[in-house]
Amino acid sequence: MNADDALLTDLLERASGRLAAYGYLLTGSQHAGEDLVQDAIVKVFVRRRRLPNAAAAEGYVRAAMRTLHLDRLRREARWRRVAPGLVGAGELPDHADAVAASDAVARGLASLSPRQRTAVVLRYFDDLPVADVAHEMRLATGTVKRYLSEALDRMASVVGTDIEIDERADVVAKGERP
Amino acid sequence: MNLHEELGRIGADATAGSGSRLTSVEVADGLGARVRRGRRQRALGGAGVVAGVALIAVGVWSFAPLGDSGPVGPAGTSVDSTPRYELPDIKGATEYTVDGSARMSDNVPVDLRLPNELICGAAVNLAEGVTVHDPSVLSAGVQVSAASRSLLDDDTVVDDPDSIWVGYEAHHFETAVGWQDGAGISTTTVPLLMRSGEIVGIGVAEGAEGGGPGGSAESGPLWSPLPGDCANGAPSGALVDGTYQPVLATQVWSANLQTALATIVVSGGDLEYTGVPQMAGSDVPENLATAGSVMLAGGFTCPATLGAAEATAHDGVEDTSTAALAPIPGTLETGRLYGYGDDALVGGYPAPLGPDAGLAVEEFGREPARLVLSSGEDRWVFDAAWSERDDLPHDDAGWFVALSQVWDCGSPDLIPAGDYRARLIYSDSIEGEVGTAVMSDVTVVQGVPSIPELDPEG
Repeated sequence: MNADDALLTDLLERASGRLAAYGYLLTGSQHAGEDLVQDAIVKVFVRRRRLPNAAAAEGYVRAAMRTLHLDRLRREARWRRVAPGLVGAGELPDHADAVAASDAVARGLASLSPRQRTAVVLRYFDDLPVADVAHEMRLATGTVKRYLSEALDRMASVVGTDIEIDERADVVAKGERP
Repeated sequence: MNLHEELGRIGADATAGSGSRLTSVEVADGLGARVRRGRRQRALGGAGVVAGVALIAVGVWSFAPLGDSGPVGPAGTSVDSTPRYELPDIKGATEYTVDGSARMSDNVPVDLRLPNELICGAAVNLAEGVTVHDPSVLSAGVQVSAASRSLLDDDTVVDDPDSIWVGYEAHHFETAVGWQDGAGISTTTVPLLMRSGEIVGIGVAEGAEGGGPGGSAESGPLWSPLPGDCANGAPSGALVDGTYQPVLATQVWSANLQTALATIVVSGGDLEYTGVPQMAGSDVPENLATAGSVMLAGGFTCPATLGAAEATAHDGVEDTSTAALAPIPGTLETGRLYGYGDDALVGGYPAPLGPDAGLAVEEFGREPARLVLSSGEDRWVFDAAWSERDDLPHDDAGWFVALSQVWDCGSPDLIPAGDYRARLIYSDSIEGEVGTAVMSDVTVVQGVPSIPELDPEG
């Protein structure tokens, strides 16, 4: 086993759960999330970066997942304009659907549009500043703020709790990060 | 509610089983295979990137004749002194000036002009710095400034690199050559790759000449060759990973190119090259024609198409030594052009380019495209279309070009067997412009000898 293979194995053993979770949060689908993880791993390892360890590789893969996901959102938006029936076809229900159905916050997340969902994940899970979210999504800052506001309103209506006040006041205290 | 933690919990809950799937042997094997395949493709693509940049560099490196006009001041004023030419400031560059402090030697280490001398495998002693061969050059005040750099495939530039991942990184010298008095001199600059005192790669030569006081050549990147890039002969045997030395050699000549006046050498130092065998493997298609130069032409109308047949390498903006592979076979079969044997092949049947022609297709294979074959006053015009296929019963999987004769443009007859001049008019050569590739000659053979089961006599 060469060094790259060993690093890949190490990465999968250490981080596949976290990466899959991140993939799910971005895509809203367990299967699509796993595919996103694999595509991102290929993208990172093909480029022969000098990756010192699995932790560094995980960081690269997460960044690649974000890029790939946003690229797909943009592509789907283009396809949706020219061939609406082709986008989203073929998705099968997976375990994530069951979780979403039984969890109020998950239901709230599932109620968001792909762009709103992505904005929420980048802002509140990746802890990116709004300006960085806007840069990643190639949107105006104001547009991102609108997505986030609408998303939190919608989630609050599903959850039945005022997410908006808590989250907008102090979204994530860095010290509370696991 | 801490939304960050809630999202993390939701993600973990929703992906039960994902961890075990992603760590399975099947997934790991599949990922490994995709990574290897991707690296292979990038390696081949990377060569294209480097070649493409080299082509552009030819255009950038142009002589700026400032000398003849003499120094000019603001209107109504006169300038009574010769302006001192200043080389552009290149960060981290090594700078050499041809002056009295240089070592003197009658021995010219290598003639950068001569194809029979500048060859791979030649052992040459290129001493770093300035070597003056004729003291008359000292009054010219020639200066060379060069910095060793590598360009990564994500556009990152590394200063003074110590390693090169072939296919992912490209080495170059950020270079400027200038002089205080260019009267009576010319310069030739060539990036070389050396190993143990032997030339193992030869880059694209650039030159400048003429000009009086204050003349200069503009600065620009000069791309170092890869091991085995040998323009004028067979590659040397050094197609292995290891330590190589990129070198930028500039030679100053008398204006009539009869006398070598000085040699200036800037070394990039020892660089560890990795991935050389993959790059230099057998994947370069051997059956393709080459496109020796590119020029802009009039488009796809019939008169423009026929006119493009007259294009020559001299019409191009590029150096003909930078030949690229064209996505057209060097040999065409009439059986594929017009059909063969009980409709086994019908007209415009795909002609194989091989599995590794993707780079050539990417470069020239944008449609619409037309191939013009000419002999004397006769012209045959074909529409060209490219595809990657694995469903043809007589051919291995790979890239193909289907050529369909345009009957109302050029000769209305079938093209007979023989050798033809070839020009490829293709789309989007530069930002939507139609271009013409001046190709190496194409041979047309009768029948379809590449498919013995159809053409046993071929």
